[in-house]
Order: sequence, then C-alpha cells, then structure tokens
Amino acid sequence: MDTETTQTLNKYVQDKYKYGFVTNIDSDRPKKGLNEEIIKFISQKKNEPEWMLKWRLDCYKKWLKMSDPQWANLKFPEIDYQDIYYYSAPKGFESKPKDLSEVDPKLIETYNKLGIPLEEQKVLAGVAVDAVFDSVSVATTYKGELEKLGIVFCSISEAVQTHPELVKKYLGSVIPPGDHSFSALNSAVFTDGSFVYIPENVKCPMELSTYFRINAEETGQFERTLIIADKGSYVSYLEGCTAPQRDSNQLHAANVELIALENAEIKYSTVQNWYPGDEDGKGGIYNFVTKRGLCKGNNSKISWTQVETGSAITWKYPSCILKGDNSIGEFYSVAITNNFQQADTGTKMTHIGKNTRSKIISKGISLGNSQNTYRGNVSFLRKADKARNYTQCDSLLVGNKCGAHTIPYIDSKNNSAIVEHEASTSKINEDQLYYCRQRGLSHEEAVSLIVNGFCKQVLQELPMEFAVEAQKLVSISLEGSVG
Amino acid sequence: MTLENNFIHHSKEYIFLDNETLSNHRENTYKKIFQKNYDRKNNESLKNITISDVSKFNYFYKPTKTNPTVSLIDDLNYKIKLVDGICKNYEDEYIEIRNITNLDFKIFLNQVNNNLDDIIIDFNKIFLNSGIFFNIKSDTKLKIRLVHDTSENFTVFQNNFINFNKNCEVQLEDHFNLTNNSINNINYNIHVDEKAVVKHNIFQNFRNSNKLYLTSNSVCEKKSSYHQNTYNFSEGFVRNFHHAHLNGEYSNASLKGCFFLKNKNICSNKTNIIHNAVNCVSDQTYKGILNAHSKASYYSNTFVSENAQKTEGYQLSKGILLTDNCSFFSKPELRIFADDVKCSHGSTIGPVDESALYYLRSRGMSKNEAMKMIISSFIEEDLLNLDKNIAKEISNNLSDYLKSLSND
Repeated sequence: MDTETTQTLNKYVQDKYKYGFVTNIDSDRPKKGLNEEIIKFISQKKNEPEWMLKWRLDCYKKWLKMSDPQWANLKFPEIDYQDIYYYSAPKGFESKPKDLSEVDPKLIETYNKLGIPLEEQKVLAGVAVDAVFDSVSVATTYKGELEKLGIVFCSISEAVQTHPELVKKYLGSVIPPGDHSFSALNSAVFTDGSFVYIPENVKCPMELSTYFRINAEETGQFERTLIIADKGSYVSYLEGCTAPQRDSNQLHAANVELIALENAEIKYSTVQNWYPGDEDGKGGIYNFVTKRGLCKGNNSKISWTQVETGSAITWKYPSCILKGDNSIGEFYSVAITNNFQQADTGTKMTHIGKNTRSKIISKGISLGNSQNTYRGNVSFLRKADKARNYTQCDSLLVGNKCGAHTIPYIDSKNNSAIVEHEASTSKINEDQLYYCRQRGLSHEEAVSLIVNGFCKQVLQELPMEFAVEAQKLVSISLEGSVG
Repeated sequence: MTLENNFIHHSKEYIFLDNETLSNHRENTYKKIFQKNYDRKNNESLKNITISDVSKFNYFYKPTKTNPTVSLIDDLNYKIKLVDGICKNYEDEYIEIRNITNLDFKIFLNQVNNNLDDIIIDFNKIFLNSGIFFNIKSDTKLKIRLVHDTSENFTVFQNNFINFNKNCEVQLEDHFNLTNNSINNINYNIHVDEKAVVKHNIFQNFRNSNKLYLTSNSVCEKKSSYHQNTYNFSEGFVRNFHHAHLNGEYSNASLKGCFFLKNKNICSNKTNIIHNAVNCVSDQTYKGILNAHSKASYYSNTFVSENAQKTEGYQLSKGILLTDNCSFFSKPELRIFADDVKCSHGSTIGPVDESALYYLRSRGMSKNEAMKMIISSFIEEDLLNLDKNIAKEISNNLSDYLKSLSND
C-alpha cells in the first residue's frame, strides 16, 4: 500500500468519537443482576397489568434454559448477565413532563449535542420524535397531531396501559421469545421502546422517529419496538442510536417487531452510531439486536434500511417473513467497521407466499483491524410460486489488517422461484483514485468520494433527514469532506 | 450394525493396528462420535445425511480373488484398476504405485488436516482398510485412467496419496465401477509440486444401492496448477468434498463440478480453496440439474489469508429445478483477510428460462426437445476444453439422463 493511503488511513483511525459525552443526571436504579425480583421491580415501576408480568416471567424461565447463539463470526468475552443494571431511569421521571419546557434543561442540551434539537425539529416540522433516554421515554412530540389521524405513537409501556388488546395480540408474534436467548432476555426485561399503530387506510404524513441513547454506565438497554400497519396504511419510521464513551462494555439487546397487514407498507430506517470503543478496542457497545418484520397480508411491503457505523460488536439481522401473496421485502445496508470493531450483520428473507419478492443490497467497508461479515439467508418454501430474490453484497477493504467475509445461505424448494446472488470483494480501485486525484481532489477527498459512491445505492433509500446524517456519519468514519 | 459393534468386532482388521499413537487417535475419534461430542447443529459434513445413516452399516471387508492390474493402453497412457481399494505394486521410469503398509504410519500423522469436524473423514480414520501411494515422476507427460472396482456389500475406507513431481503434465481420470450395496469412503491427498500441471476428471455413475463419499485435499506449490472436474450422474448417494491449498506463489486451482439428479437422489457438495501465497488464482464452479424428488447442497468457500495479496478468487453456483419437489441449498462463502484481492461469487437457483423455452418452441421444437437443448447448453461450456474421449463419455451420460427426463 502506498504511504498516502496509510496516512489517510491513520487520520481516519485517529478521529475520535464525537458523541462520547456523559450527562450527569441522578439515576434511579435497582441492584445489578437478573432475577425474578428485578423483573417484578421493572414491571411494578411501569405499573404493568398482571398478564404482562406473567409474560415476562415466562420468558425469563425460557431464557434460563438457553445459551447464547454461536453462529456469528465474532470474538468477545462471555457476557456476565449478573453484572448489568437492568433498569435505569433519570430520577424524578415518575410523573412525566407534559411538554418540553418541563424537561430537565440538561437533557435537552444532550439532545442538542446529538444534533436532534427537539424544539427546532418541532418548528421545522415533519418529524415527530419519541426520544428514549436510558429506559424511560422522555417526551413524545407531535402526539396530538398524530392522534387526529388515529395514529398511536407512544412508548411501549404506555401502550400496555392504553392499548392492551393490540399489545397482547402482536407482542412476540413475529419474534417468539423462545427464538434465541437474546429475544428471550429482551422479552423478560424490556424497559421501553416505541409502539406505533397506523389505522386502516391512513398514510402517516410525517416520518416517525426515535432516538436511543445509553447514558448510565453498565446499563443494558433492552428496548422493544412494535409497529403495526393496518390494511392499506403507510408509515416510515426512523431510529438513531448513540452512547457515551466509557471504558466498560455495555450491552444492548433490542427487539423490533413489524407487522404489515394487507396492502400496508412499513419503511424502517436505522442510523446506528453507538460508541465503537477506542483505538485499542477497549469499551464500546455490544449490540445484539433482533429485528424482524412480518408481511402478513397480501401485497404488503416491509423495507429495512440501515447504516451501521458504531458498536464494538454488531450482531444484527433485520429479516422479513413474506407470508402474504405478492408481498415485498427489502434490505439495504451499509456497515462500516474501524479499529477493532466486529460486525456480523445481514438479513433473512423467508418466502412463504406466492409471487413474493425480496431485494438485498449490502455494502460492507472494513478499515483498521476490524472484521466485517455479511450473513444472509434466503429461503423459498414449497408454496412460494414465482417468488424472486435478488441479492448483491459488496465489500471494500481498506488496509491489510482487516477482514471482509460473506456468508450467504440460499435454499430453494420451489422450481418456479428464482434466486440470484452476487458478491464481490475488492480494495479501492486504483484507477478510480487516480482519476479523482488527476482532477484535483486530495487523496482523502478521493477516498471519501469513492466510498460515498460505493454506498450511494443504500444511502438514497434513506429519508431526506436521515440521508444527510448518514452521509455525515460515513464521512466521520472516513474523516472526509462530503456534505 | 451399530457403530459400536462395527468398531469392536472389526477393529483388528484395519491397517496400522500395531501403532500405538494411531490406535489411540482412532479410539479418541470413535469416542468423539459415540459420545456425540461434535457440532451437531451446523455440521456441514452431515448436510443431507443423518448421523444414524452414516454410523449404521455392516462392515464387510476381506481380500478378494480378482487381481488389480496396471496396464499400458498405448505409449504414456496407463490404465490402473483398483479392486476394493487394493492396487498392484508397480514401478517404471514414469510412475510408481503401491499399497500402503503398516510402515507408512508417519505420513498419516503429518497429513494436511483441514477436515476438522468432518464426520466422514473421522469414519475414514477409524475404519481405514486400504490406501495407495501413487508417485508420478518429474518431467513426464502422461494420461492415467484410474478405475475403482468395489465388490458387492463391501465397505471400503481408503486413504490415497498422490504425488505429482516437478514439471509433470498429467491428465488423471477417476472412474467408479461399483456393483451393489457398497460403501466407499475415499480420501485423496494430492500434492502438486512446482510447475506441475494436473487435470483431474472424476466420473461418478453408479447404481442406487451404492454410496460414495469422496474427499480430496490438494496442495499446490509454486507455479503449479490443479484443475478438478467432477461429473456426477449417479443414482446413489454422492458426497463430493474437495479442498485445495494454494501454498506457492503463481499457482492456480479450480474445483468444478456438474451433477444431474433424478428420482430421490441426494447429493452433497463442498469446495474450499485456501489462498496462502501471493498472485494465485482460483475458481469454484458447480452446476446442477435437479428432477423429481432430488435434493442437493453446495457449500463453497474462498479463504484468503493475510499475506495472500493479488489474489483472484471466483465462485459460481447454478441450479436448475425441474419440479416442485426438489430442493437445492447453496452457501457460497468468502473469508478475506487481505486487501489487494479480487473475489466474487454468484449463485442462482431457478427453473428453466421461460423466454429461452418460448424462443425454441416458437421455432417449431417440441417442449421436450427444447428442454433437452437448454439443459445440454447449460453444461456446454464445461465440455469445450476437454479431451475428446471424455467429452464423448459425458455427452453419452447426459443423453441418458435426458432420456430419463422424458419418461417421467
């Protein structure tokens, strides 16, 4: 490798995590460790009905019998589940603030630093934010306006109180708690998250958004998101994540369930920028996320878009179960790993209904000493007549200490179904670099430009507001000048 | 018979009995399987088969009356017949071939082992009862036809070593002439020395009652090349697991295969190429046609180690499903630790192309004829660079297969 690339590379590597500040707010939390008492404590804090507590305890019993899934290409010390705080809420949040002016100004400042000033966004309009600060939903903006349309957008703990019938019916219906140990764990101890219900034939007029942030040290964040799009409805949901910079590892095990009924469409976008650990691989978030969407009705559609730049460990497979006839599943992903980050991410498309279609575009970029793995599963069941899948996963390697791996599983049991898969792995094309340099770009600008071009196919799937942020994130990871 | 019975009753018949290290090794391997102490959930070596299928068999092996032969068809063209894994000891100025003896245990301890967690190879180790050493001397240019004859009900556990010396140019053919009810667990260790060029064609065409587990491990030295083609027309179960190590710079390897399945055939394939040196090229291509209730799987893997810069590695898998009851699983894997590489993989599974079918039919061909034409064109490119005799044999087999399609 030429020296300039090495220099540019070093520059990237030296770029510090910009969101690594800690907000000093008193936390109200019980003792460390996981047991029935803690689950009862969480349930009591949330004022949950009896059936919810029973469900949690059942899940906990299931979890006790399970061991962590081993398939991923990741190396990390065993997680000590007894060394984690399972509940942490900023003090004084028992009674929720009614509007933003009642919220602790320090908190608001935190959000401002993150670049999502609630006030400003309110004025700019278009995005309603449900910000999750550790485990309690701080404020849910724009609720009133959504209510007029019959849209329910609230925290999951609130939904347990206000819409128990929906929660009862759909919670755990896409990700059964017994699926694997992280889903069981999350089901037992989930603290907060978003709940969205879009009524029949309603097109949600704005992008719904939530911002997760892990603040207190050694807290696991176990949020649970449930989105239900009723017949003929449409919703676009944004999720962003950051965490402060700490030496210890933090666990994040979220569950996200999407349900699309007949003719409904859900678009779910994530920009994940958890703290990835420092240059020596110390600290950082362990991100074990289960995301799954069910296209239950005919002609439904679920689309996942994700930009993954953070986390010490990413273990994430947003999947689609295409059950309804003519349903569509999409997955667009950019995963950038640097330093000692490890990512094992991909998707799972299960074609059950006739004429179901799915598309997977995955771009992986590895730098430094990182390992980046794409793991995907495409399966056509017997009745998936004329189903179709197209998969493209490309990897870019920068530097010779990193690794890029592609592990797709393809299974077809139907002879009218067509699956196409292609993948390539290469380094940044010398000719392209030369071309850019010749036209007066610096080496760094050229790399940034090429990487952004490499990701374009995915970034353009993001909603406007997010696309800008995502591009910035890509540039931060690459210290570029794009945007 | 169960695994336990086989092990206890027949353990005195295997070779290398007198060596303590190997006996211990066998004992441990046996214990591992018996106590189910291996990855049972995602074990690639057991895809499409179950452990009870593999471990329940009647071990049967004894010396036979038929003699193995080595004959010269014409100048520099050998025909070697193995009977139940036994060969005729022979040496001339070009080749040397002999059976392994109890004195050869050292080489077993040193063999390339990338079959960790391969249960079939474990079985091969435990029940090993035959094997050959085959040495092709340097600077020779040869054609060799290797015929494996296995008698009825025999269980052959064979471990072969083939050494291609410097600058040799060899075309090796493997033919399997299996009678009935035989189990053939054959492991090849192939060493390709500097500048040697090897073309290895493997034909598998036998009846339903036989089973063949074929595994190969090849090691390529500097500027050598190893090209393997397997053609599977068998009715019985076939497992083709092939591994290649590119250890010398500027070496290249290709592992290719085609399989044609009908009825309830099952076929399990895996290729694995490990790049350990700079400037190497590899290619893995498997194509399959599946009919009726057949089932196939294909694992491919390209591993590029840190120092293997300037690597080119390609993979392709194509499957055509002719009916609704067959299934095909593929897992094309890339594991890359070096940055200056060009690696890709492609995989398709689907029915016969509708528009191609329409095109041919609109020109007056019957559906059957059109199907046949499309299927033969599917492997046409693989036959282009082949020796005439081989190409002819394949196309004969193919037309038999196509005939069986129209009978359905």
